[in-house]
Amino acid sequence: MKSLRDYKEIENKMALNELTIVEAREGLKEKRFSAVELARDCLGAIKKIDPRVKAYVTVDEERVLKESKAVEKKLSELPLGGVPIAVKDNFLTRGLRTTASSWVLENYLPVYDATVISKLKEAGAIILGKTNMDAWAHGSSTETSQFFPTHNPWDLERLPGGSSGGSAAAIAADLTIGAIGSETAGSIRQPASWCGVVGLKPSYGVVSRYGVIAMASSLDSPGPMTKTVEDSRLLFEILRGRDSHDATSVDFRPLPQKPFRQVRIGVAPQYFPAEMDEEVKTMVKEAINLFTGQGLATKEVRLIDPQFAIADYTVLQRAEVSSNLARYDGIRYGRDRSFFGEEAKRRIMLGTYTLSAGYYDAYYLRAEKVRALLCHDFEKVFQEIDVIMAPTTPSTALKLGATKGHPMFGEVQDMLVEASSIAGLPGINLNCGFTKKGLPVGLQIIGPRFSELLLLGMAQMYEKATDWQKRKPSLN
Amino acid sequence: MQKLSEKEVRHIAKLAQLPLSDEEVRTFAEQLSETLDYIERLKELKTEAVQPTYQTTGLKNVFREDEIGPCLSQEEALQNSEETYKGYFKVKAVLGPLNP
Repeated sequence: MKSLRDYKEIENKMALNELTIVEAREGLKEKRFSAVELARDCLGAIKKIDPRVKAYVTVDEERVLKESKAVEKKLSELPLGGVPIAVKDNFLTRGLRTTASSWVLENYLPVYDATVISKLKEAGAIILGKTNMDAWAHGSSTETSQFFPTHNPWDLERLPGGSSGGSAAAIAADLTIGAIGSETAGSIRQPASWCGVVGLKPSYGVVSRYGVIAMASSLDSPGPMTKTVEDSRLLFEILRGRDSHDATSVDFRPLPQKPFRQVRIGVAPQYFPAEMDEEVKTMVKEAINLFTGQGLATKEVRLIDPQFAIADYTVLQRAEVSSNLARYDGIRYGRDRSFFGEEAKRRIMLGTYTLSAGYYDAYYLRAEKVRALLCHDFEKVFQEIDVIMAPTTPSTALKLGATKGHPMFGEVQDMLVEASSIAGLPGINLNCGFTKKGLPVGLQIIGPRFSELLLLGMAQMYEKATDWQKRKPSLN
Repeated sequence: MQKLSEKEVRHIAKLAQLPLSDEEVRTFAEQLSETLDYIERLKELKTEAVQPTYQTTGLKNVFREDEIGPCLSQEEALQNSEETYKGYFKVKAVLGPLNP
């Protein structure tokens, strides 16, 4: 947490883009600065630094300033009044170009807002810009964006992770106050891990998918990416809830709370695979020790080998992708199918194959059964423990170009998050330190469905006891 | 090692309405085979007695009242199309003359 003196320093430097959502709201309500000034600082930072980070695909300065001005009078009543939020470019924003970082939708102008966007706007937030992603969310690097790769603010020669890489990078580099991403399997948690920011993947169904360019309909989960856990909680509260436009959405019914000291932590050796980075292993174990140091009990648990989750996810996701991308026929919107990139084509092809006559049983049906197995596996384990703690990713941020020639790159990078996504569970990533090379390491906490408040509470406990978030990448 | 033939790849591409070059057909035959190999390991898990599931919410039969609510105007719906005609989307002809 910043002290009042740090805070004054930030305001004097006119670097309001460095504020968190909570701090920005305080400042705005106390009229220490205006929404327009806050927006200007964010836009200024983008102008200065984004040419190197390339987190953004679209920023409409005029619109941002106009909306910021319009909200000034209503600042105090609105929970996010005047707060600039960066949004992953797979969320439809009415009148603001939305591309999914793809050539097919390069010139697409949505005629309606995603529910997530409507909720943000109702709360008074300013949509600062649309952030870069792997095209169609097909990736874990943001390198498969058909426009340009995003660079990790901690080392510009490295990837930010994906597919919500642009949002993660924007948060890490203070190019926004808050951000929105989406996760199908890893796309919030993994880039959050590589960029050292807080990424919450809610339980599937808790945040509406209406207006989110669909990847895998039974897995896609929109969620917040923020500088602090408090900010994450704030955004989660605004975004959650059943939506009549999304028949797969549910009301958030939080699990009954238990005192933190009684929370039982599960640690699975399967989630610390031999091939993973030693530094990451050590640092995540240290992070878990912080909790045991506070008196919490840990227990070793057995979970199905993540290798099976990789295979399962590969089938489920690609099958659903092949169905969801069938709508891009270039007739009602966008360019025709010849504009799909290699990765998209590959996924559509594999998905089509696994769903085709003669192969459906062997692949898709089998994958649905494995899905059930994974769900039961977690259910069983959550009878003995309340949360699972593990590394978010097997390594820290890899260099640009790392994905070339590896059709299964994303799936392997996401091996530690796929199972929980398949089971529709919530998970949060938080930064638990930096390697010798100065790269962030992510700790993830996974819980049963509807345990978001517990996850946020645990994360906040860790955040309070450490100060990793005070460290910033040196981009000036 | 199960290898997809180029014929199979072309068949899938047709099902998926994806225009592929000859080069792409060759590359995909190899890459897709690699991925299929990876998926083979799912066979190691015992799934005979397992009920498949395609969702995690447990929701069933989500309905709403058959009432008209706000929706896009015709103009908005046509806005992003390159080819329209008097309020319609223009598409390639599906039916042709009986004796072409």
